[in-house]
Formats: sequence, structure tokens, C-alpha cells
Amino acid sequence: MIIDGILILLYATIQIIISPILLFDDVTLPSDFATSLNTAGTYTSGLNHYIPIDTIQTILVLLVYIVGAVLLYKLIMWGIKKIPGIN
Amino acid sequence: MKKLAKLIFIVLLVFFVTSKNANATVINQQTDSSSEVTTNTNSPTLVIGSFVSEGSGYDADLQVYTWGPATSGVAIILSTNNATNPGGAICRWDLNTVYSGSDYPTAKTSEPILVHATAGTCDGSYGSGITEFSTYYWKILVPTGNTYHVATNADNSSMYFRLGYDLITPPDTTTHIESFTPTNGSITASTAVTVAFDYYIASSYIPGIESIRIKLKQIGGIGTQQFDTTSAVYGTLTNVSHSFTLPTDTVWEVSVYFVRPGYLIEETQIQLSPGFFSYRFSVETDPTNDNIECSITEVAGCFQKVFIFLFQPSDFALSKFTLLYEQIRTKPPFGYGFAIVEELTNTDLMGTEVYTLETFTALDDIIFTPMRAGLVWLLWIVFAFGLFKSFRNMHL
Repeated sequence: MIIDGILILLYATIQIIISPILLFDDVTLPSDFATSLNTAGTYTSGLNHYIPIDTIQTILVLLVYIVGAVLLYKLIMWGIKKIPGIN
Repeated sequence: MKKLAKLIFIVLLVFFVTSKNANATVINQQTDSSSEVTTNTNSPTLVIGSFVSEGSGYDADLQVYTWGPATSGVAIILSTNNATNPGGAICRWDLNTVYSGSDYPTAKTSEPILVHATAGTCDGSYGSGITEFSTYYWKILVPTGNTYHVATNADNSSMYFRLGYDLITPPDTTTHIESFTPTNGSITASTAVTVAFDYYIASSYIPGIESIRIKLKQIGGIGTQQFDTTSAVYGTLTNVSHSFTLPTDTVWEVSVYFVRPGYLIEETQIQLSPGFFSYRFSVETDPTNDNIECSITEVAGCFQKVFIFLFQPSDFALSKFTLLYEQIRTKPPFGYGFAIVEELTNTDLMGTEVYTLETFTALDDIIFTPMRAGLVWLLWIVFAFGLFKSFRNMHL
């Protein structure tokens, strides 16, 4: 009950803060983005025998996840510091 | 900084309000007098100003604006009981006393015409006799010469209304889905989840649709479920409903497809509501303490139940954050990151080769394969070192 209350309060606070974001339409990337990646793939696939393109792809994805997580953390901390009374 | 945040919030709010589509009912259109007068000059136009009725079986009063090309006959307003078939039973309200022939206004008049419809004026000569006015959708037909034209609003779309009700927007006769349940972001406690909706496939839509497919895909898991109807109906709003049994504490994505067997593109995904091609919902049950015994001989169990009640978070509260994550991941700016990662993950950078580099097997075995393996190790080591160094210098 107590933890439930805290979680729901936290959820409500986050929901209020992000409510302007929820008003936007869902993000859709233009189809050209995927097409460009696929086209690049057809050119890089020939090199995969010599250069580990699959490893590079995995590392790129991991990098995007990590950078995104760090940015999100910094954003949340910025928001928390804006609450009055919190240093 | 606070002022900037407030300013940004206000700008977003203004953007949201002005970007919503205007209400398509005639009442709102009627406030835009410029569109009523300048458009639709070649066919009769009618705007219903206001409508009053006690309901079924009672008289109705309409205030209408009607204008169009000059007619050779008398301007009459008719209505039918069938929104899709103007040939159905017809009730008639006369405007004989107001307009006659060339007196039919060619532009919108400053004052509306008051039309009084008496309940029960539908007689046998026009159809089966309608007394249940409020049940059906009605259209207005305006004569031009010896034919009748369906009156349209300023946007040239047919108008419908029901006696005893406020003016309503006409039924959507484009291919669409409506009244979809479960709603997006909903949480259900039951493991038997009924997916239900109404669909309408316009006759002019793609041919060959033989069934409607509902697909469920578990978010954060590998579960999938699917249901196909036995048929698909064109031209009529049809209901589909199916109950799925889903495990508890799971989040699901539901989507609907039109299935056309034998066609190059067998599945055509249809949006569930404007802007949404899939919905997400969660299935959860609150934890119960049924397995813990609390009695005089099991006092520890009583304390256990108390602590569980006070401190154990429910799945309901925890799942809120799962849905929050699902909501945020599709919205800007986070949605762009997720979308890019999804594209990078789904794209195979080793697709069909457009060229091939010739080599020798001996060279491969001695040079290129070990070199490749070494490069893999090098890439991962450099990545790990770079990550460690950046985290060490990062100020969080």
C-alpha cells in the first residue's frame, strides 16, 4: 500500500511532466531512411569477408543505446533538480 | 530557465489546440459563412441551422438554409428513412408556401426557413409509413427539375441527422475501423481479453479481402497470437469479436490486417484510429495473499500478510511504468532514438551483395580470416576501453 502509493504518485508526476510530449503524433521515420540503410548494406556486405561489418553494426546499436540512456539519465536528474527544495 | 520552460509549455499548448481538426458537423461549418456561400454552387445546398424535437413520434422543427441553381419546380425538402438507400420510405415536408419555382434562392438567405415536420406524415404513397423517426438516419433531398438531389453541406458531403438528436456527423463510409477495444494503454485484470471492433470496407477499396486478421504480439516477450475471421464484408459496418487467453503480467501489442490470399501483398494493415496502427495493453492481476495462512496458530502468517499489504508493490503499480515506457518510446524526441535503433537492428548490413571481391582460399586461410578475427577482438576492446574512459570522465 505504501510503496504502491509512492509508485503511483511518482507515475502521476512523470505523467504530468511528459503530458505535452504525449500530445504529439507517433514518430515515424521516412521510408528513405530504411532504404538508405538497406542500400548501404548491399555495398558493405561485400566487405564483410575482410572487415567485420556485423560487429560494427552491433557496436553502433550498443553505442546508441548507451548514449541514449546517459542522456535520459541526465534529463531525469535535471528535472529532479528543478523540484523546489532538492539540491 | 523557469520562464523559458513556461514559454515552451504555452507554445506546445497553443500548437496542440490549433492543430486539432475542426469539428466536421454542420453546426461548426455554419459559423464559417464564407465556405457556405462560395462553394458548392452547382448543386443544391442545405444547412440545418437548428433542430428541435421531443423524439420519436413527435413533430420536429427545422430551421434550414437552402439555396442552389434555379429550379423549375417547387422546392421541397424530403427525407428518407435509410441513410444508404435514398429509395427507402420517404417522408415529406413541404416548402410550397415559401418557395415556388424561380423563387428558389440561388444564394444563402439571411434568415433561415422554418420547416415544421409533423410526425406521421409518411403515408403509403411514399413508403411503408414511418412513425419511429428517431431510429433512422435521414437525408435531405432537394429537387432540381424532375430529379432529386441529395443535399450536401458546404464540403459537398452528404448530411445526415436523426430526429430527437443533435446533428451528427455522417457515418463514415470510407474504409476504417471504429469502436476498438481494448483501448490503447488500457490495463485489464482478466486473462480472457476480448478484442472487438467494427470495420467498414468501402466497395471501392482494394478487392479480394477474404478475412480480417487480429494479431497479438507480446512486448518484451516472444508470445504471439492470431485470429482470422471466416469472411470479410464489403459495404457494411461489421462487428468482429474474439476472446484471447493471455498470461498475466504481460504487455501486448494488437494490430488488425485485411487478408487477401493469393495477392502479392497478402496482409494490409489497417489503422485502428487516426494515427495509430496498433494499440498496446497490459494484462495483470493484483497479488493475493491466499497462500499465506493467518490464524491463531499461524500468527507469523498474519504479520507476513500485513507487511505484504503495506510494502509489496502491486503489479498494477509496476505495470504503469511499463505502459509509460511504451507511451514515451513512440513520442518525440525519444521516439526518434528508438525508431533509429529499431531500423539499425532490423536492417541487415550484410544484405544481397552487389559486388564480390575475388580472393584465393589460401589467402583467406592464412591472411584474411585471422585478420578478420583479430579485427573483431580489436573493435570490442577499443569499444570497451572507450566506454570505460568516457564513463570515468563523465559528470552525471
